[in-house]
Amino acid sequence: MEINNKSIAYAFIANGVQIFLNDEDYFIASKLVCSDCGDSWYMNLTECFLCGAKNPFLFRCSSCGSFQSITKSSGKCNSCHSENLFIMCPNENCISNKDSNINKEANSFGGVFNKNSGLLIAQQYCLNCGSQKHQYKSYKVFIRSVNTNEIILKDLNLDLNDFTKDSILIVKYKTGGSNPQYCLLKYKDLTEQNIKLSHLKNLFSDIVKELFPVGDRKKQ
Amino acid sequence: MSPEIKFPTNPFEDIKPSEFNKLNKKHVTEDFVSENLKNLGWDVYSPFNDTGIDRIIIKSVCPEGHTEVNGNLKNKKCPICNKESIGIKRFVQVKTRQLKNNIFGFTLKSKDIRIDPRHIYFLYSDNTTAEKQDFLIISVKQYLKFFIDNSINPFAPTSFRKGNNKLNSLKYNSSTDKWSWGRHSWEAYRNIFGMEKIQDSNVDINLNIEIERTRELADKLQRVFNKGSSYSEDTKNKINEELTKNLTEYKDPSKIINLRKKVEKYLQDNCDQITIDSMNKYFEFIKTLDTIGEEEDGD
Repeated sequence: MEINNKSIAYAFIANGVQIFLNDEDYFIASKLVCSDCGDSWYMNLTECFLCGAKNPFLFRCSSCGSFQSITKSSGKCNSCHSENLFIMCPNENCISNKDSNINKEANSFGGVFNKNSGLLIAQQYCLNCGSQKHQYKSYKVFIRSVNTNEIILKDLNLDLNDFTKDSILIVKYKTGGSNPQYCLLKYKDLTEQNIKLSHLKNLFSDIVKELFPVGDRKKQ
Repeated sequence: MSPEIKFPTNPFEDIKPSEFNKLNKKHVTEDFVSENLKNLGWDVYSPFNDTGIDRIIIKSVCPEGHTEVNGNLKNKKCPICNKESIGIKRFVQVKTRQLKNNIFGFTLKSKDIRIDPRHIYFLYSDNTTAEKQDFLIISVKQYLKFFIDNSINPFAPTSFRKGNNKLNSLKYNSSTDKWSWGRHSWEAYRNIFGMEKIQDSNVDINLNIEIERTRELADKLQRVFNKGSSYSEDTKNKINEELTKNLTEYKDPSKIINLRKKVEKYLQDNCDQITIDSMNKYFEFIKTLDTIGEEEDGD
């Protein structure tokens, strides 16, 4: 993989986007997002199977009710020193907290958010808008580096047969020892031979935000 | 139907797939899948680093379904109906297994159930016989529908959500040369027949509707609780009532958002800053796992 492409690929990964390669000079950038608002969807994130509350990654002491970190735990409650620590659902109104039998049975497996309980499930509801739908959003990404902000399309040696409607061109503009700036060009932007780079971004994360925007929930 | 196309074939003439062992076969099996997909005209993309998706595959097809299973209309119109071709994309999760007693045993966790119908399970039996390999290829929507249609629910047991629900019902019958799930045939998903199914461009054309349908199928199967030997009958009944109630209530997405906000406030009010910071840090770690393709250890 060419070094410029590799550098941009790593920049995508750092911004939560997955990269897929073939033998060509472009790659696929893909992300699982909410179908309604575009927010990131995390299949490794778990939620309570019973009420949908997000995993807090915290122990709760069933004796005194205090919460504490699961990563720094000594196995005893920091407040009352009891050993009754469980990864319980943090929703007071969850049936696993309101019903004493269910609570007892769930805690016998370490609490709702202990994977042995079988009472947790991968993310089902969007963290931003509450939608139940997710989908892959992906682009075919072409990278070109230039040192002038006025470019001629044919000089970029893009194979326009490969540049399909879901393709994007990221032009990395850099002069001398300056930091790179980035310009995002889409299929519809490549109609003219002479292109003046505009809306240059100083941060690569701004390019990612433009490609994977998070908005309000779609009107139903 | 295109039964004359040989698929899969061994693209590596110097070695048989059955000659690899469990330790040295990972790379070659994924390559075997890639080369066979390329033979059917797909552009194949491999992950830069390991993720839950093993391959993205792309091709251009006629929106009316006129494209042969080994065709690709890249930048061409359909020669039959003259319509512009459309690009279709599939997100492939590969599971390679050796048959044990003719059983293809595999595990799918709740994180593997995506509701984008372009998500494909590619089950690769690399030693159906020493000379023969098979692919069972099925989209997540077809997979869920198969269980609904046949009144089977492998998603209700606690083991599914624990991530250790090994499925042992996919079997090869060597005397009839047929694949089945229990007593239900899986020949429709085998090799070229499976590939024909996943090439259906209606999935891409009607993506939003197809996502909704897949969600409905997933809810019917996943929002059911079987107690197994872990929970009491009373708990099972109460949990199933609760699941039904919440599924109806959360049709209004503001309800789940409000619940989560309430819980967040409750935690803010009842935790010290160190605990809140720890919680947030762990959440950031989990978010990263989705991009780097690793799994959370421990609980």
